[in-house]
Amino acid sequence: MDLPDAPALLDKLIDQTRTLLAEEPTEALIVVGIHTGGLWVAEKLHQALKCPQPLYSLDISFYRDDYHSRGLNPKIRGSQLPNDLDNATVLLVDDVIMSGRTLRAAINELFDYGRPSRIRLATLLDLGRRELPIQPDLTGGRLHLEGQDRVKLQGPSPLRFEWQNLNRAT
Amino acid sequence: MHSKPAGASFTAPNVQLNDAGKLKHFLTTEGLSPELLTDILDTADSFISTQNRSIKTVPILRGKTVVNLFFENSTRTRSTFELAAKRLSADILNLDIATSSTKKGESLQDTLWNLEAMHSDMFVVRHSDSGAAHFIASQVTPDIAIINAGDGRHAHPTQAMLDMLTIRRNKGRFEGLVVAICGDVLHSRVARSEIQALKTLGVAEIRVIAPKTLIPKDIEDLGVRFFSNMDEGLKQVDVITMLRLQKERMQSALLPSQSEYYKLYGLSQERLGLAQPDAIVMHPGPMNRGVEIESSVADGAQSVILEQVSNGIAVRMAVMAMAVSGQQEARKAQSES
Amino acid sequence: MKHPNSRIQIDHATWFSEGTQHQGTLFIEGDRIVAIDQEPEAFEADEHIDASGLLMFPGFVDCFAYMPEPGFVDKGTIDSETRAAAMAGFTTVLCSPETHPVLDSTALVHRVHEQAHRSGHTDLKVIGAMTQKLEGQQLSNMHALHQSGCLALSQGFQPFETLNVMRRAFEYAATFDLLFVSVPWCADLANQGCAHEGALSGRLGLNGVPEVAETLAVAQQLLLAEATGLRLHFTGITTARSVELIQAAIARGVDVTADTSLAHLLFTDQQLLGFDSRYHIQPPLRTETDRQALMAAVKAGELMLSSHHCSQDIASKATPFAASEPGMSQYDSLPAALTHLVEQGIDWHALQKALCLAPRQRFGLESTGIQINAKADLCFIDPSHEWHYNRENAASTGTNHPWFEQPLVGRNRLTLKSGRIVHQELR
Repeated sequence: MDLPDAPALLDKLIDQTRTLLAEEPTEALIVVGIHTGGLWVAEKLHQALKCPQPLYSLDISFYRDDYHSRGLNPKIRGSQLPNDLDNATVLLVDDVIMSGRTLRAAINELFDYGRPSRIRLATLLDLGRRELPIQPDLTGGRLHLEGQDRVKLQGPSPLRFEWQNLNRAT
Repeated sequence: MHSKPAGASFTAPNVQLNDAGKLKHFLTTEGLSPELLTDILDTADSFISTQNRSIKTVPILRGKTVVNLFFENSTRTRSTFELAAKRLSADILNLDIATSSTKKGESLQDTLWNLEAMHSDMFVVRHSDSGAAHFIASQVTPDIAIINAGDGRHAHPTQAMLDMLTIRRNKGRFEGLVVAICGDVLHSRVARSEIQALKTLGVAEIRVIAPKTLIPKDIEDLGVRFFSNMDEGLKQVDVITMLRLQKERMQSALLPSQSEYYKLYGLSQERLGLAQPDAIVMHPGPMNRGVEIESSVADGAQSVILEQVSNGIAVRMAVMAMAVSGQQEARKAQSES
Repeated sequence: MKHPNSRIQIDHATWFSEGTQHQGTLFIEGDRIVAIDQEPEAFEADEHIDASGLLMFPGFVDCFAYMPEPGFVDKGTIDSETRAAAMAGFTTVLCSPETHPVLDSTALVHRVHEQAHRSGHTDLKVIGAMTQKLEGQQLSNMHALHQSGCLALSQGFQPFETLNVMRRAFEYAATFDLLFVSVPWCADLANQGCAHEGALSGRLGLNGVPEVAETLAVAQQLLLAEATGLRLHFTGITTARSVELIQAAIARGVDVTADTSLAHLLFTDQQLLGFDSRYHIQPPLRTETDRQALMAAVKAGELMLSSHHCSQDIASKATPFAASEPGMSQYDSLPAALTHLVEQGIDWHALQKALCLAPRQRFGLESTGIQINAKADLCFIDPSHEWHYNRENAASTGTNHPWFEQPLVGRNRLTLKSGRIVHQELR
């Protein structure tokens, strides 16, 4: 099975975001990318949309629900967020969505910075197999995976998807 | 088969690390790699960013139980560990052992086994005997993460790492720095842990400044330079750590008087002028103003003493999260094998 | 236990005498060696022992050991510790007066001797207290103690209250030609330390015992002994400087001898790195330079070897380093330690001198070389015997030794005391 072309999905995602913003005009949209792949995608979106606000990032290491089995991430980069997210509109960006657990952790962390009025979720690729009731508002494309296969975004330039089979790799 | 090796070939196993080389106890800064010390500083940096938010807690140690075991009173240190544990969402139990079980004649070992039976995940230990934390980690409760909050004169590794964090945040590097540690090095666990950490992180030079009565024998073997003259020792220094001088030192014939000590080894504005113009001044606290440090220096522009305190919370959060994580990994590896 | 008048024939015995190694057959009757190689007429052995592969020595003499009785029965008994000594090859053990109560009266000395005699494992000889209760103030009844079987007198680690008391004690002892066994230790300078004062104690933050805490006592007592004519024996010296001071005193004619403790030949302060309380001994382990100097002096036949055996219960060691009680249980692993020292370059001749011949001479014991008509005090070491040191094969109550639960090489297989088998592993 061929992997989708990341730049093409990005173009689609940018288009969808523009449409959404046209429907839901926002004064100060805050774009937040999840480390690491999500931040690359967020950076492109942030540029394309010419957002006046700075680009923000989120490191969910302290919020993961698998800390008990996997331990602490050895390389934590920390989150860069405004100190107050009260009443903000957040565009949360990740590269791929699968189980939904990363996004659950991300949303939890966002709430420790305040109470945003809206959070919209944009992902470059949706791999299905959800374990939590979380759906992206915007997505560049969908892909159905077999067995142990995983997909990971490589970047930052060029952006490119890569296979990761848990049985073979790592 | 040979009979047992003697003398030189002996090396103590590093009980602080799990099989993957990750921290599972934090007992001393000695014997840890520069990478691991840098990981601690990086993780602490990330926690600093969480400390400016309205909600300062992160959920990482939710459901874990941390026991503050203080065999020696220290409200300050205990409070920072307590706050760090709370900000990691752990449950915390403060046990003031100094006044409870040991007075009833219960042995340290029995006290700890009782606490272990309560399914604690971490002991933060302060004890007046050097090596107490090692003893607990290696022989009594090896499956519980032990954080050394000060053992005798031996080590105070979280204090040393918060000093390292303060240096890095102010100087941006360790390479090329000249660091002076001034005062009662003999009785200071902070000085010992700092020397080990500074050595590992690769500063250019470590100096100790004090009269001979306050310096351990053969200190040069630790890779430091000894100065009995403070004016000489402060020249070109980038970082100054002042150590607390306790009043008992006069009674045990280590020093003649406070006034003579201050005259020779007190950090005054004038003396500070001998160091680099951008030198920073640290003190592990509590300070004796007018004994080892002039008030105007303690409160001056070059003092980073209060920053040390806030960095202390982040460093303690970092080592607590890392040690619990390292214990989990060790347990997982054990159950798989 | 064998009948006292039994006859024992030892075949293929190997022993050291006057610098050479001998082989032959020994014939023992009663408490004596009655013949070597030439079988006496009508000798019918009750017991034949094949000693091939073993090294035979006159029974070891321990110049200094700690007995847990009276006073510390949690740490062992006279029975358990003398049995451990016999298993290690000792046929005579001299024990410290630092018990509770202190061994400062003939009644107490009799009681200890009686208890050891009843157990029958090895001869136990009390080193009597030189001052009452070891308080360093009033002299004990030294002459009476000597009459009741004390081979020497000591203050252990306890100081004399004043130098004048020390001088008087030395003079009084010299009057009766009594031997003073000194543990050279300035308690004041030792400053409640638990480790050798040096780079390592500095690094570990352990209270240091400076070298001068020993050497100052050595120098002081050498001069006082010289002035008073006291016969002086230092036990458990630990520093190179002490060796030099004693050698110099001997050269100018002072009547002084010395021993070092086994632990100081085996280990150095570097072992303290892991804070293992089993290495907590008093006086503390010193540097490699010191260890080398002690090894050289033993090798040269200038220094005797004592065990400073000290059995501790588990609770006394299950604490942080400084809070643990000092002492190492030496007997159970001692033959393996000797084998180890031979690997390190001290030969069996030198060990025989340090453990058998020199102490016998110094403490006035009957000389028991391997010769006709000598007392049959013998032990038999197998230097290649591999075994695992554990609770089951340990005789001492204390297992406070770093080699506990480890594989060892070298073991004593047989001990004869006055012609009686007191320890036997050969069949």
